[in-house]
Amino acid sequence: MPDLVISDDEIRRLADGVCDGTLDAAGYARLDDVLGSDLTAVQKYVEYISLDASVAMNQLVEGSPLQTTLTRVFATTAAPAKTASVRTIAAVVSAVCAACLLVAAATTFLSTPASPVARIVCLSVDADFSGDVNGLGHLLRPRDVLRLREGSATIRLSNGVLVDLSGPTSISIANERQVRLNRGQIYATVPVSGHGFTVTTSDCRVVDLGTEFFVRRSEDTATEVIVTEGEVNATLVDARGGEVTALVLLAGQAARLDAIAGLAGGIGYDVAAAEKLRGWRDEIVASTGFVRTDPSMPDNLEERSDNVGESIRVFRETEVLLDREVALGTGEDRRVFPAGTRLVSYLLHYDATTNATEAALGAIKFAIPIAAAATDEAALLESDALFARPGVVLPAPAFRGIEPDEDRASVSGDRHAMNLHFTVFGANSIDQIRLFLALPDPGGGPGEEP
Amino acid sequence: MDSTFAGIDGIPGVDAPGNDASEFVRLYSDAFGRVRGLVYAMVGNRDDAEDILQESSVVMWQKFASFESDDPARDFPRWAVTITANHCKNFYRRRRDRGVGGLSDETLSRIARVQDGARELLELRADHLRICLQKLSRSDRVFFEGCVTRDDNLKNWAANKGLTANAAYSRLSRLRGKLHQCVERGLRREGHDA
Repeated sequence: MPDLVISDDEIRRLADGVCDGTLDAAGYARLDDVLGSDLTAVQKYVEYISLDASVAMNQLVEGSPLQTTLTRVFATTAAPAKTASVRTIAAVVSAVCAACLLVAAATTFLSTPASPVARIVCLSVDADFSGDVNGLGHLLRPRDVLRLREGSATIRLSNGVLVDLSGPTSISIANERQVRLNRGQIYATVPVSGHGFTVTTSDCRVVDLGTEFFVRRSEDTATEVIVTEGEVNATLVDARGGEVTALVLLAGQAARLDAIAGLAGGIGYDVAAAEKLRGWRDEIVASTGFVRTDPSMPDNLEERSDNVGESIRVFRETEVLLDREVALGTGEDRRVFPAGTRLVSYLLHYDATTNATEAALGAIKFAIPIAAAATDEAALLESDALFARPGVVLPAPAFRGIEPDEDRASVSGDRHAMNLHFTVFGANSIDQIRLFLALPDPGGGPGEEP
Repeated sequence: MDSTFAGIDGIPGVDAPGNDASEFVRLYSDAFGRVRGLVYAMVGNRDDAEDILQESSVVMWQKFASFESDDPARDFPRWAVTITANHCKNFYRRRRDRGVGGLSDETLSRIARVQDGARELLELRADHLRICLQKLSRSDRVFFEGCVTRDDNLKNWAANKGLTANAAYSRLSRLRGKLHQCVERGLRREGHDA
């Protein structure tokens, strides 16, 4: 019986032989024995030979390797025949012309950017991407890969599907109906127009049947699917995409699918993970310009935070069930709320850097209407008692609120968005606005329209 | 390359209008990275891998007209990967038949599964490899890149550089070891299990 224990050095020696084309029959027999019995050895082997492969795949040819391959394919399939009748020569000329057209078509296709199918609509203040990502509004096309190192981001596909990412996460865009999760975790909110939306991973294919669901994948846990609303089909696939096991998951159910182990089955429903990634999905749907969500409110807003640049940060503050009638807001955005109203407040906080040279512009859009907005010092102070986060040090009152002559803040006509235009005025580099949203009745009733 | 597709009659895209080609290019461009990665993982040797990739691509284009009937789910990557994996297996069968050794179908399937599951990790490793290549001395980097992207077989390539084949293998192995360690260190620093 062969010795199936293998050292890393021996794997590397055998892999060297494969890459160099020098491994003999005995070497292959040894490699086959070991790789056939030890999955860890297979992983190490694949990683080691990827050294040559990565360099070769990136530098083998000038220009696109795909373009070169296709050019050879079309040239090969249209190679002329050796007989020389007039009919054949005509056919050969025709074939060569056709091949040229095919190559030209391939070249045109590859050099023409595909139409965008998604864009980044929301970012957290700490969102950090690998590669050339322009931030909010960045357009994504088929075959684009989005790598979020940290923070959170939301993309909106052209069919209305919202996909929340929490870094580190990498996804590849196939088209508006399909996204591949390479690593990390995403939360998909699928409207009726997006039914059939599919998330694929190395382990499985998850097809939406009208729902919200959470998918995460790592090398340790394979793929986990958690359904928060509706229903999905989750299908275990093998390395070639062949379907192995199909599961139907309903709201409140979760499953793990592991292609390497060939296993698919139910697991405990991790509410916390799904809720954390889902974030403020019911409330915030998009932001633009300098506006960034910030899930971790600092203890002291009087001091400038590092690494936030010129962001207008959006903090979700406090949910309150009013036990008495309360008036909130400023000017035409002031309103009286009766006892029993359930409100949530969002604090918009801008603290300009000392070298700010341009106005901070942007907007934040909510799924439910903005019921009231406190934009001046008095209205902010008035609402602090009920809505300010306990323990958070707020800036000096004179610095809060916006400067009506310099800053502009307006609620959109449909009251779903707040448009912002902040400027730095003298020594006052801080602007704050508090927005109030009336939350839906927990019993399922709609949110109150202002 | 063993090309048996030199005829004209019945070649899809020559007989048929060019819209088949556009569709093929569109679908293949999505699947190409996956197909290429699979070939390199299963075969290892660059010259063989590129030959198999080319052979498989030709067959895919030739059979493209029957793609829909072959695969009612129209899963092009799956279809393309299946064709390519079969070519890799045939390549090793031919090697085994010639008595020069090769990997079994079972082992190749395992490699394919692991490679597919580790695609994201391999991308990360490739990112680190680019950095690690820059850390090599210029002569080592030029040697390594030149060697793995050579047009000729390694013996001839080495001879043109004034080296014996054994000296080239030895230097290549040492550099792979260095790069491998460097990539592992980079991954550990980023918090990924190496």
